[in-house]
Amino acid sequence: MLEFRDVTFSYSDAEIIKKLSLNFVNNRVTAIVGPSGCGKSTIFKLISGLIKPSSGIINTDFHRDTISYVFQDYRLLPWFNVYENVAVGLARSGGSRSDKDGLINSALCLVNMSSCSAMYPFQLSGGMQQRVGLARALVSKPELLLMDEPFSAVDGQTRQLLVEEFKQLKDEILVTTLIATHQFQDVIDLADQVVLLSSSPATCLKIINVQSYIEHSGEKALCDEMWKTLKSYVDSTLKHVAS
Amino acid sequence: MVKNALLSLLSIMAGCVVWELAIYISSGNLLPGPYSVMKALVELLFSQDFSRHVCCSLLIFFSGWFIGIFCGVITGIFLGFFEYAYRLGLPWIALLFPIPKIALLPVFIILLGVGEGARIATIASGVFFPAVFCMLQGVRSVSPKLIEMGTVFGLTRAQQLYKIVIPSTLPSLFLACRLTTAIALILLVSAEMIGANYGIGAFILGAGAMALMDQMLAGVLVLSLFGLILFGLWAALEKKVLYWQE
Repeated sequence: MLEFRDVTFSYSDAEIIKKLSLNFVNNRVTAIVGPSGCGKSTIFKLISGLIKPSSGIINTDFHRDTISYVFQDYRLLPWFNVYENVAVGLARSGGSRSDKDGLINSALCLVNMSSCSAMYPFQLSGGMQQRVGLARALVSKPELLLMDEPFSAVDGQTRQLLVEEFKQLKDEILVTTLIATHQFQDVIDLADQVVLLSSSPATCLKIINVQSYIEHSGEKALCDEMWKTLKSYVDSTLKHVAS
Repeated sequence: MVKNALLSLLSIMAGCVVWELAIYISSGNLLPGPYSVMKALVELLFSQDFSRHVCCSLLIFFSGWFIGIFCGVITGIFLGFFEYAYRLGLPWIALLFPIPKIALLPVFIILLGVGEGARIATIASGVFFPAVFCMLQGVRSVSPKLIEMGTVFGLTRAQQLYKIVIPSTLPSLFLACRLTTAIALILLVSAEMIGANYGIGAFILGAGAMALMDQMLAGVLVLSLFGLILFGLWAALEKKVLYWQE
């Protein structure tokens, strides 16, 4: 269970999130969509405990040790090879060396990077580095997976490949996943639910059940609905500023 | 790479030719030409007395340098990693750093006696501060994004130190090694020129006093070659250790 109740967060005097209330569905993929800088990464930092809310409550039964993160900019350690980078994901896990070995090899197999375990990040393409980031996040078998714009740093073709691989993984790994993105296509391809956020300070504009909306009205209608919701917010903000 | 080495060699040889020509044209006896210096160098290399000077210098250089760099690196990492240590320690470092370390030689002589100890301490003190600054800067420049990644994945402070911080600061360590090599050489020669019986600095001073200019310049050339070898070693080691920066 993961719930935000009137959560507010500020950096110094700047309010980043304002009275945000959200409920995330277990074992499903929730996309968080909003303009750049609206506070998507801040929401993830609040969930992973890196920062504390200024007010409000975050209810969760996910222990910090069961939360994993996939970063937009990969954040692999350049002096570690692929195997050692994935092993970082097991830093807080116990178990014998052979157990960890098995988990790491299994994670690398999941993302089709087994043959690259001895390579270093500087020898890998962006898509391969993101796969390693994903393996690092999955190796500890997390209960909650946070993916912060995971496909924004790769080209369109690589993105498509990664999306297809993640779709296959989704059903295998069954983990509650939150994906922060500003790409509507990520919502259509991956999400079960989408949360639309306003620009900073972020508030919730709308929550849409993606699968049922697409079944009812189609992908284009979903994109139009998301676009309309975000645009109407921007228009109303501009009118308020102009007046 | 071979082309660059050949070009470098040609440049040195051209410089030597110009030097020799200048000596010939001026017909002066003030400074010897490259041929005389090289001849003197070859004779010295087979001389037991000169070998003693070189060995003494090497011992003092490496002792002082190693003590200084070891203490400086540890101190720099400590000050950079712990915020309170940084706030408490930095004013002292800033206060003591500008003191010309050769000026401390008489202090060390009083404390440690006339001998290698004072010269080693002088070199160590001269190496210590640049090493601290390099490592301090290195630690404080570690990517906060990598630290954040480590925190998210549950790395302890100790694990963050040896898996993230120390590898991140290795480029700063090599910078410290290069800078302090040059400083240590300068301090070595200066310290040996003040009351030492043995050492390259003492040899150069003695040769100059007896107007043996070719031997004096040969001694200077030995220092230059020593520095060149060390810089080459650092470059090769850096390339090997910092493999991810290719």
